[in-house]
Amino acid sequence: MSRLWSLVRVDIKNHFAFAALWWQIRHNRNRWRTLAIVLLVTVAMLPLMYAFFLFINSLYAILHAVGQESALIVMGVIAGQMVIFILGLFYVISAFYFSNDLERLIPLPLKPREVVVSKLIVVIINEYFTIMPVVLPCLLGYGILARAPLDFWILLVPVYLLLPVIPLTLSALLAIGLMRVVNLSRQKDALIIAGSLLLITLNILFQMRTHQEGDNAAIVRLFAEKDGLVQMIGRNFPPSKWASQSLTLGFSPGGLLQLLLLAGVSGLSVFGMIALAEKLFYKGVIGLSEIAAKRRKFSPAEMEKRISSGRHPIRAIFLREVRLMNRTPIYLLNGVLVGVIVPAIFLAGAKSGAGGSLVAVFKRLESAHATTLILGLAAFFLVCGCINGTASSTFSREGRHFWLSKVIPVPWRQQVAAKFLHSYVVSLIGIVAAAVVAAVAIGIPAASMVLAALLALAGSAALNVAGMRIDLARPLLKWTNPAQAIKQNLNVVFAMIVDLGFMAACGFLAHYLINAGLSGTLVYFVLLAVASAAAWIAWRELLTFADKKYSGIEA
Amino acid sequence: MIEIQNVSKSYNKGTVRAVDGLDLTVNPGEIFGFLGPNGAGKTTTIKLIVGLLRPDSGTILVNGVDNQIAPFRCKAMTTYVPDNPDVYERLTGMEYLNFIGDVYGVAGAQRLERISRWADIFEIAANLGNPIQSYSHGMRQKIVLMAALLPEPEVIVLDEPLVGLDPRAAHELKQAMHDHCRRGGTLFFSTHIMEVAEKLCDRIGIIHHGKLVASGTMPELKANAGSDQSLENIFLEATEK
Repeated sequence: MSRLWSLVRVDIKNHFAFAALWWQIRHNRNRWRTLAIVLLVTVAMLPLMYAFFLFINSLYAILHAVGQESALIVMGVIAGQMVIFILGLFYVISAFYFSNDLERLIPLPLKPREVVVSKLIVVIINEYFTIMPVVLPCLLGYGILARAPLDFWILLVPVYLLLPVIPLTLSALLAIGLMRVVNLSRQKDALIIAGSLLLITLNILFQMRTHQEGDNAAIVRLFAEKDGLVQMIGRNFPPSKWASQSLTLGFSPGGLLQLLLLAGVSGLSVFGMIALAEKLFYKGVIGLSEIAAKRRKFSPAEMEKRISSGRHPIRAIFLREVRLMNRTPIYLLNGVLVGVIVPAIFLAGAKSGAGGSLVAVFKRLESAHATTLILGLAAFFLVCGCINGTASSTFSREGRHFWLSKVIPVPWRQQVAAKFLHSYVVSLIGIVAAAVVAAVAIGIPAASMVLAALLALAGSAALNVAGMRIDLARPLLKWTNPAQAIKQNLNVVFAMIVDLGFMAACGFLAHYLINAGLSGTLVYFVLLAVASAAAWIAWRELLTFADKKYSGIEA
Repeated sequence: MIEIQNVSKSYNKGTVRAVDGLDLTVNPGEIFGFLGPNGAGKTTTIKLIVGLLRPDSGTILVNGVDNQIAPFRCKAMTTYVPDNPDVYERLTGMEYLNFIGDVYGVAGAQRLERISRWADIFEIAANLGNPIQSYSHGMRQKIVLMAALLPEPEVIVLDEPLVGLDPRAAHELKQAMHDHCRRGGTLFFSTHIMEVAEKLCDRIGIIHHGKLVASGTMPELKANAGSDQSLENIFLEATEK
């Protein structure tokens, strides 16, 4: 046990880099600037948090009117567990199988289960932070608005701590099975991507099945019964029901039973995962870095074909970015494919009837004002185009290879231009995927699509530049597994906050202009001009900043 | 030519002086060996030359060009091999060499001739189509060396280049270093292997606690030491405290 405890302590220290952080706070000349930036970002988040609080408040009022206020808890719990289950799979694969420290851990006299448990604990701690913005506002909002009794607040702690355990261990079970199969193959990276996509597809199908129960009779039943929503969701994923009911029922025998069920099944799932890990983990991880390599000398003709005749440096760096991103499974899934997966979820939802709300939103927008449909559509395109963390992790992803960017004789501005082009192409993929969904599921007219796409292209240029600017200010170059560069990189979170802020500002501007009586065409062109100007100003600023900052990054 | 003029570099808000008022000149056509105990400031000096670090004070000139004022002119004249061959593992060897050829502006015909020649010399031709991820440490070192030799720059800076190389590759590298200097190029390299420094270098510098404690040709170092000592003994005496 003490061996496991030592391993867990080392893993936590290594992962969260507490020692490095403390050292930086004590010794870094720029610590006050760093603290000021954190403070500024926190202050910038306040309006968003306030908007979210207003949303929770009005949601509670609606649910209270139909006697379903406890559904707020269910929503928080479900949202948190779904985030863990969908994103957790990549994270578990990355943490369990692609950590740099595995090569040092495997030769040590450690049992596979000890390595897996220490990694699982780190992943769980990390998930507490990931689900915090999704889960806590709902649970705290309910507690405050419903004036929940003391037992709610006491039980909130164990429920929150247990919340990620079952979805994560399920992800881990799938990951351990998948990686065992992957390790048998010669094309490991391709199989990881295909396997992950398959599991996500299955997950989406499961979600669709859950939502398909929403026929009219079921909805009536839902609201007629107390906790009808909790019961419905519980049929599909019982842990969500146990977590929700242990909070609503409190210290009553029923409530404690639910907590006991949640804790018991969490414990069992961990033990199940440990048992599987003991048998399969090392078989999956050992030799994973070995890749198919044939020894074959190129013929003179082949050699000539493979030698490039001299690309422009911007093209060479763009090509490097594309290759490195597309050949690293965790980057491909989180950077490129997420832009396709998100619209695909909307499409699946719309086709199953559950996403009817999306169709309804666009129909309402269309009936409200001719321009609002285009603006709403542009916002949808922009979300799908910018949800990836490609731009906001573009420098961080270089990691320990950053020295190469510093020694090559390519001016910083050209390097930045190549990286922007790459991020922009990834955004384009998301926008095209969203346009396909809009055409297939909603049947938006072609003219509206083109106008919306133009606006989204201007907006995504501004947001990509903003993401790059954020990442360049403090690139995360020291990481132990590639997931840290894109999934656990605060720069990606900050960029998403900026994205939301930009879209909210555009929304307010559009609202103001429409209310001021401007014609739809004029409103559209004002927004297009604003987005284009924002992109241009941000681009000039990024280039100036790159000149100053790049040379100061010590690699 | 590399001129390091009164260069200092410190870490931890000045509490650790990695390089302390260093003055050093490496002439064209010269192989300069840079020796020192662990943590003496060798890698910091090398990183300062190639622009990976910024000096706190002092100037570094590469062929008369200040590497802080005109960094890209200096970079275009210099290639660098780090102490650890960390390069893009997801690229194939050929893709990596093409990338280096592109950014240094090496023409297609020259690229073909040089890559083919070095691939044969380093016995890596059969692996160029494979991802670098599949390479052994020695093969990674070879691909990084090939990338440094590909542009045929005026200045080559190498940080412990012989680590991980097999004897044949090490021999070929030493030959290449000589050839580079015969063409009038400048070569600066760090090593812990005294025999290599003694046999290969035109001049040797020993750094200790960030200061240059000995510098000169082998006969000059021996003369300064006051007896006919080996480089190893000179090194041990110079770095005793």
